[in-house]
Amino acid sequence: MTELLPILTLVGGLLFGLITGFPMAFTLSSSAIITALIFFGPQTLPFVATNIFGMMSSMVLIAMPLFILMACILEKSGVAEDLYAFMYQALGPVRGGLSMGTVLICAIIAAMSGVTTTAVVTMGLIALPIMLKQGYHKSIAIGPILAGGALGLLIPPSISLIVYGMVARVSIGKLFAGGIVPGVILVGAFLAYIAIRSFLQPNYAPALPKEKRVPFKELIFLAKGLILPIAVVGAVLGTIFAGIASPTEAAAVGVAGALVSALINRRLNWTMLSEAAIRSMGITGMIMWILFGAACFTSIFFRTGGQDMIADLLLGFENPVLIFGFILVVMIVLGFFLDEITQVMITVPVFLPVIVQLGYDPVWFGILFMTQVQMDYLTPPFGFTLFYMKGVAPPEVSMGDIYRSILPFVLIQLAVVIFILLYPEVVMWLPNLLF
Amino acid sequence: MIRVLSIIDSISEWSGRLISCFVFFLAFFLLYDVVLRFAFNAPTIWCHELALHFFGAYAVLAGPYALLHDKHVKIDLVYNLFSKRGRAIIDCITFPLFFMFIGLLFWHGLHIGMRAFELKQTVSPSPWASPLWPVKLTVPLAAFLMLLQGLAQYIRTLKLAFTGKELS
Repeated sequence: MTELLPILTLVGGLLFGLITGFPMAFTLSSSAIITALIFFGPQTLPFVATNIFGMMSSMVLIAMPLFILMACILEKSGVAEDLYAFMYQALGPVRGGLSMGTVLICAIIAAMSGVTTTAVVTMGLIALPIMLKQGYHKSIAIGPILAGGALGLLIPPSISLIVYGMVARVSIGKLFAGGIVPGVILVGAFLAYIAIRSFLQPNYAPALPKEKRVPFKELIFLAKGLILPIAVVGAVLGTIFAGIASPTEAAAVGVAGALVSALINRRLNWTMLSEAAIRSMGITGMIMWILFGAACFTSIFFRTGGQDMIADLLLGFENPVLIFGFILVVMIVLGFFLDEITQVMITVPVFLPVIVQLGYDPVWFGILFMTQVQMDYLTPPFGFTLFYMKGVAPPEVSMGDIYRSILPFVLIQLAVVIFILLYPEVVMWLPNLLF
Repeated sequence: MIRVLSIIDSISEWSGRLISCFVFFLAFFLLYDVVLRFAFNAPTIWCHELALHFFGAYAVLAGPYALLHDKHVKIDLVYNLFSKRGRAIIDCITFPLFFMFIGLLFWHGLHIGMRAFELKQTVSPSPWASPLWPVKLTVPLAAFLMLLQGLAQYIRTLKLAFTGKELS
């Protein structure tokens, strides 16, 4: 019989952190410390240092700062602006084209950076004002940026998938491969929605007037902006899928690729490099300290026997539909409050053993998890990215506009989550083919 | 007082800037190994291990910089409802928990690091068997810097909470 009190103390600590705005990294670690101190005695306290040291010696995690650096270098070399200049001309003449182009650019930026906020903030600043000026209605201009930006969780190389792979001890290569098909399905569904909507309501998303279009020759010239970032991401994924390099090494290849593309764009200089390095260090520090805190938290959670208790509870349902229903509801509720890294760190160790015991693949669960977190990010009223959007959008865009604009995309996300849940082969097809 | 605080700030700032170049070392070690292994079929025994040491130091020593720039993720749904001063008052209550965590980390990290030094612990199993103490000692070092930076933030927060004015 597990005792309930230690678990309640841990969870109470977490709630305390949510209410007081105490940084997640310190909330997780200090609730673990207090629980340990009360119930297991001070002799257990060295766990603080040993757990953190365990996180520091993870080969898999080295990929994280490298991918972040790759994205920062690409970003500083003006990739987003170049991409947008191309899409503006290539898709602008089509009704709803700018919205579609935004989804595609967000997907590419998401692939590069693996961090949701990058795409939302960049595109919110570049694309939104242009779309609004072009006469796009708010409801069809805002949604694509948010929905496209959230794809960063799923489309490889994704930082969250790396963290998931470390916790679940599954191959990062397989996870990356698994993310591709659902990512493409989502992009396709978003594009289809925009196309249908702008066909039905032409005045919501007017095509670019003739006098603003450029000749075809110039379009080819602008396409240059598309080649470099795709080549870099292609090189990264190619080396992983071909088995030449581990994901960590492929991340180093990506950094080299980003440097080369900055060189080609003539934007490689000392200031840019040091700014990119400092930015990556800040982001890595933030993520790593959450991992440190979460490592302390989960190690104490296991000690309280909370894991067994939840596993017993779930398996007690005996019906897979109920079990998955329960897990999804818990994840959706947590998703309103927690960032994705914390969520992976504290829910995966709890749920994964149950999933595996039921005979499902951890790779599939990882992809389901990310698709679901994406949906959380977009769901009103608390979705994370919605607030970032409000932060960068022009003042005439209200929170209500953002909510109305995102709803159709949330429904598409939900449909894809259910689709993945019902047909695991969709996810597993590519990883099984490649590895 | 203000001078002491700004000295602490610049220690965190510069430790962060210094450590940020480690990411290039990481990329270099890993690339070097891939190239040697793939082109010359001669993998090194030291590249991955050295990358691990550098990554450990990089990860933990980025903490003080993140603290200085308030980059640690917080869930601010409720927190943001309060005024600036209200938030400072809440911070005054939560800060001791931070000191408890980082203090313990400093103490036990130092203990574990010193033991690694005395027992000459090495990475195992590994053909290169590099010593573990340098990277283990980065934990108490980072904890020490975090304590300093935390103290500086705490003094500012207390001032704001009690007087409603910011320490400039």
